[in-house]
Amino acid sequence: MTIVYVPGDSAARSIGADEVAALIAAHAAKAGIDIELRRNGSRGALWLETLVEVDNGDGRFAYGPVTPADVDSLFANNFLDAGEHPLSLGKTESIEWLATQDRVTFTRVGIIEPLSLSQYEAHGGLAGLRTALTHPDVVGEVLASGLRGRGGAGFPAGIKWRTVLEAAGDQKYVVCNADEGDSGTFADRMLMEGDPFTLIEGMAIAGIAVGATYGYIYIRSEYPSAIETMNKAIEVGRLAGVLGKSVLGSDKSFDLEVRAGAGSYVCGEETAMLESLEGKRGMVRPKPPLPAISGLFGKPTVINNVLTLASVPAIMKDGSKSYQDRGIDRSRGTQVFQLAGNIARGGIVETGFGISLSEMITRFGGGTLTGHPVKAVQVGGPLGAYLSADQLDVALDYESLAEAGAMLGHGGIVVFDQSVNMLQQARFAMEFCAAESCGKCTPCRIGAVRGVEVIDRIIAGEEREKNLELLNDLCDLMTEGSLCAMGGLTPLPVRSALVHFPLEEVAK
Amino acid sequence: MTLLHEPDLGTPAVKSDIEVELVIDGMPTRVPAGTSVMRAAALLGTAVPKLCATDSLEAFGSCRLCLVEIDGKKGTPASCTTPCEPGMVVHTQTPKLEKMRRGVMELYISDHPLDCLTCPANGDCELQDMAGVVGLRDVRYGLEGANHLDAPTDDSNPYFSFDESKCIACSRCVRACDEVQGTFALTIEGRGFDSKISPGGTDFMSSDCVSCGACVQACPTSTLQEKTVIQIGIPTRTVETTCAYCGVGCSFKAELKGNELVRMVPLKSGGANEGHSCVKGRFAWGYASHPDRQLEPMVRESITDPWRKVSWNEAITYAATRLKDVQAKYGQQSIGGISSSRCTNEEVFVVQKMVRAAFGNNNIDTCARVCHSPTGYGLKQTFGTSAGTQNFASVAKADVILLIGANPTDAHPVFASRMKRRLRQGAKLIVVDPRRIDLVRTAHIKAEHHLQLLPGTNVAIVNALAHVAATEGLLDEEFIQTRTEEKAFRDWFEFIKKPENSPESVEAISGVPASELRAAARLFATANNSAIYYGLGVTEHSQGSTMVMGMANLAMATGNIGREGVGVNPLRGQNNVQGACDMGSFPHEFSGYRHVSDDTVRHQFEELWGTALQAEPGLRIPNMLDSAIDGEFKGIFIHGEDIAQSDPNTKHVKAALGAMECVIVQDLFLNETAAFAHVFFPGTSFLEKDGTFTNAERRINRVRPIQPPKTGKHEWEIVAELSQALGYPMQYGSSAEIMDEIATSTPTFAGVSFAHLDKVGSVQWPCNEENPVGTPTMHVDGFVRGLGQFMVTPYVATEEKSNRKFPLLLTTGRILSQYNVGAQTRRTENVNWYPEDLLEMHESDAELRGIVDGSFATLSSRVGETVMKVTITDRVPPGVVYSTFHYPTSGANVVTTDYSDWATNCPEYKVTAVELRPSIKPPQEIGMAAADLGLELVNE
Amino acid sequence: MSSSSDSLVRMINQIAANSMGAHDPVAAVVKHLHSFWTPKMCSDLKSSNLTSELNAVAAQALAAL
Repeated sequence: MTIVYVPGDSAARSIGADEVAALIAAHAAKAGIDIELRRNGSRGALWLETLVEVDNGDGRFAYGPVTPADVDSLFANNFLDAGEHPLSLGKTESIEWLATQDRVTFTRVGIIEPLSLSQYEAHGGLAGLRTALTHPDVVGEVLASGLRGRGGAGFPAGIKWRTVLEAAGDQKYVVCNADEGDSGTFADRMLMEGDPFTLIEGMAIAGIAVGATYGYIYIRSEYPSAIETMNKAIEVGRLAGVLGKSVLGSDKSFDLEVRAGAGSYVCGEETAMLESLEGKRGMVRPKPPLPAISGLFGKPTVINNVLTLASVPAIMKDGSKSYQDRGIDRSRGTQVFQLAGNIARGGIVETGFGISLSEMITRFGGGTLTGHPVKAVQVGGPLGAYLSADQLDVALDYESLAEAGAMLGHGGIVVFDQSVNMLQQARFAMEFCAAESCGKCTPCRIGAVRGVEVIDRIIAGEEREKNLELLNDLCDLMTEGSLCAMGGLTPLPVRSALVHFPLEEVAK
Repeated sequence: MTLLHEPDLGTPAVKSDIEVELVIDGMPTRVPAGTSVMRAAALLGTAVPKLCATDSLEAFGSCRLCLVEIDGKKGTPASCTTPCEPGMVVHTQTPKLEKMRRGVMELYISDHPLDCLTCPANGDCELQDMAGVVGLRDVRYGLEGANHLDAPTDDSNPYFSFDESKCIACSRCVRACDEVQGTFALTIEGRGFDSKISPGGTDFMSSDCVSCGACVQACPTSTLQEKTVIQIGIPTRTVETTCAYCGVGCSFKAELKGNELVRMVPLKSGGANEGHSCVKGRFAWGYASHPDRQLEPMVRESITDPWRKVSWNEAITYAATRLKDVQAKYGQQSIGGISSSRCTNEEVFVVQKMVRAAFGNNNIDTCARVCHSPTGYGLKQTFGTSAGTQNFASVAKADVILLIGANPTDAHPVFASRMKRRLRQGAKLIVVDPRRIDLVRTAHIKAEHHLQLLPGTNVAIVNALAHVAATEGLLDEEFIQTRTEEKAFRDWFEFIKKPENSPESVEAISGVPASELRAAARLFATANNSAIYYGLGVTEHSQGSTMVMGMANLAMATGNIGREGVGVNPLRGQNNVQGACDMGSFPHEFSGYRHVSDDTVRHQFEELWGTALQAEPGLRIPNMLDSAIDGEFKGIFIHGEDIAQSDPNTKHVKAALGAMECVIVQDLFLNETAAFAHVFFPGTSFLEKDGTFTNAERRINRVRPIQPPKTGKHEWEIVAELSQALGYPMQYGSSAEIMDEIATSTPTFAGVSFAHLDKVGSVQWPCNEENPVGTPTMHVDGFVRGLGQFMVTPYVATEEKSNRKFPLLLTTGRILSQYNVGAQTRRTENVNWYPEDLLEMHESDAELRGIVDGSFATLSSRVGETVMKVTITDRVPPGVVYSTFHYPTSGANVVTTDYSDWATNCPEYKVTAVELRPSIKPPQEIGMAAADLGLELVNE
Repeated sequence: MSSSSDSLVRMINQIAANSMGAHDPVAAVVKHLHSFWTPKMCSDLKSSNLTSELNAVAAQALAAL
């Protein structure tokens, strides 16, 4: 039977995927054609959404971007048998944008139906977990893979896991940080909506590795579909024995649940997230103690980002070497980049570390959407630095970016053309910090508000030198004195906007 | 003494056997592992600037003033949240740190009113201090930016004000409410710059706030400020003293300006309270200068005559003459005295001495008769000493807490905070109470078991718990073998195994499901450390003494005696119940619980006091009253107790008082009892007393005067002079000399003197040569009586039973803001929280009787009736009603009966069969009228 | 009949009822009375006309005084 794939991912649905799916189903029914309509995840080529795929037995053929208005003509052109159409993209696997990526973490996203455990297994799912159940040293394997935390800090996952493994505790936890709040990032969501079992499998492996029997996925409330999909997948997993007292029939126990956040950016900070999970106000905790030693409810806790945990099944399945072979220097494996902003071809680009920013923007992104030259690129979310046009040669890996005064963060890349006013962007960084500060530490709580006021005075031309000096002192204080990265990193976009885009220019 | 500033080391002390060595600003030091860098520096005398840190709270790390530099560590970690590590090299003062600290202060001050000179905290403000310390000279942000200067002030609490405009959002108040008090009434609303402290979105008075004042104490600025400080100004000197309310015995700094009390601040070094307090101790001291306070002695021929103010001389002579006349007419045994658990050990000691030596009989009793006399009896029988076994701090090591007939969050709030902290750490709680007290379910605490028994069935319950331990092999065999009398144990073991003591049998008696009883018993018996805490819900029963012994049995049987974290612990109602009992206030024993028939002891006192003493016990209060009605007991000296309000069966008490020919009342106020008095001696408040109180943990605390007696005479002086006038010479130069006499005559007090207490702070008796600094935990290696003695404790149902006419069981208790008969708290702003007594009843009982919430109802028992306001609640089960007894107008004791504990005659306050019917009348002015009359006549 | 005597009867009966677990209940009651009652209370009760209201143990104890 012909299988038609219409993504059920939120991004696709936001531009009419549901309607496209409904029209295709209705059209087929009316014409008496038997089709199987599958709602897969998104392939991540957001510029092609809604990306409709047809599997007529010869493989999957893609059409996109499909709007509801195109459905009639698709049928007219016999798309169910891979017929030619202005929106024809040929075989999906041959679309260059996809074919040149190296999908490891996202290997199944967009390919399978998210809640089909059989499709998941058919595409390599659960193999990693099975390996882990009998593996003598899961932590060592993860350590050897070189996997680093994908949430932003880039801390080696294996070292964190080892700390938890070696910490004494009658109960340990695995907490997945899915409070994806950075502007221009969406990989966590797409993975949870498109391939939830990968995350479940990754968490189960983490639990088995460190001796934790329970996990929490902390998903921001702005992701209702991800929450729903994860909850359903957990239920499926329990029924199938992937989760529960006996994971895949072993003597290992692991279960987990989803907790919804409450609209706070700072709850993506791991200690604030723990507070929130404990039912408290989302305020940052001082470290030490490290969560790995005293985390959720005071117990040793692995906290990793969605992408970190979702990379683990592949590492266990194919071995650490396969993962380690990808990437460069101390940035091993692949990174799930997210291209956004003023970009022609936005979406998920998973590829080994080390690709240059310019290659990312031109080869995958196709330049700016407006066609104007790139003026600035903010990498790593709202707390990431702005890189100027002459810095685009920087390689996308942890160390190269740090050297350039920037950071990889969660892999978000937001592109701006010449219309951007960098002084306003600097102001926005302070404003964002003021809006999202948890209010615990003084440099962030009061400093961000004063930062906006000082920049306003600079913009207005009031005692510019004095105010620039004050802003500089404030940035020093926030960087060195803040309790967490929220206040501590805010000066990064502020300063890069001012350093790389001189005042004369930005004040225009 | 000048104003005492207790050092603030920034973060709490850490206990560890491991020490780490480090260098701070070039100075090597050693601290227990886990100590913060801030505390280590403070111990060296280096004060790292701080605002959000204080050593009563866990480190928080928010203000970012205390940043330091540590060699080899990147950045500038906060010293409050950074634990010391071996070999650390810390720098607390560097140009970089100075600049950052100034930057932080610049931010703070950019959002703070610049009204220091007119601010109530001027001179007592940490923000002001820190601005000075970091050398802030300029606020470059200006003062025109976003700010909170227009934030409103919440003045709803009668004792303190909350001026939000001065708040620096350090969260010390919120954390104090959480960590110290455990009420969780405060929170931070909003986030970022909009963060603000909030009592749960309402004002303080409408919130869950219990007005303990921990937040006020924690506030580094004038945001939370005592209203007395706002009115009077910053105090200039400190007197360390002890609270005169409940048996917790909190140590306080009375902070004064001249002789004017500005505020009470709990003493961090106070052994009982360690810096915490409740609404009564901290704030409700205004009664001491209330206009109702009597300052001059008064006499009258007949109780229908007006009072006549007279000189001390005349009053004392008059009193002595009347007493002598009575004795001449009715015999030596016709008079007696009641000592007060509210007064100092020294005052109590001289009162009992007066009765024994000057009255020449043993008719001395104390108000402890009506509260904890069964504790004295029961623990003496089983352990050999009439006192609790632990110190309060012991609860921090308990794994299971069995709380019986006590409501600590209302009646012993400062101890309750300790208990709640331990429960939040994971200790399990079993509550035995007919009523759902707060601890059954409160913020972050949920009792494992609430055994909601019928009033009067305690003994059945404790027997059932022990039965489970005995029959399920959960006894501590080794403890029993080595520490207890074998034969007594065997008798008990045979008894407790009987089916009548099984949970299944007891379920029918108590209404508590057998399965719940079994589960609770297993929990108690199998924990490492199980501790029993109890209150008047144990003692004020016809089997109060039996129950105390039953608990002692359970503790011994499970080996929960003789170390920290365990024990049998009475929560004493009044400040000096323990002391009043220790001092020989009971008619059958001298100080130190030694029977009057013991020739050696009696001869010792006869020699010391230079007079013959009687070898037979004297009358207890109820016997005195009965005897008065019979016309045989005719004169009484009542010290600081209002028996006409506090003792059961008010009608009977009043009849007895009315039948006497000489009633002498020594008190602060013309109380209900004073209406029957012929002589009134004005007493002194605790703020004028010089002496000691002994709290529930046997801790002897100093009470120091902040001013001379307002009446012109110390209370012990009155007693000494009365004795003198009666013909028995009694002379002391000071209360310290009385304590010296106590120490000389009482082995458990042998090492106690004012000088010693002033040196070490406080001691827990026994304090003697062997234990010069006291004994925190008793019965460590052996019991005071040698081997512990199991007692057979059969359940005997009370004679007070509900029937068709009186189908409900009334039980009583007190509320946080009020204290006992309310003589003090009703004369403070505490009435704002609880302006009248309330009777709690279940909806189903109320509906049946047509009684609606908030209406008045007539409460009747076999002995009397009164009217009370009813509140409908599911805290009490159907069939049980509960009332407080703080107001004379409601007269809860009008209905309580003469039934009492079989061994000690402690009244059975906790079980009265009653009926209720709707009433349109508000409560009668019972008793109050008489007292008011007395006042009016004086004024004429 | 006096207020005291009524109370004394009730008291001694109650003491006796609660001493039934002792090895020798009568001796226990006697000991209790010696320890806590005034000699006059004992003699008053003995000479009262209420001794018929005493329970067996109480009566024996009073007789043994």
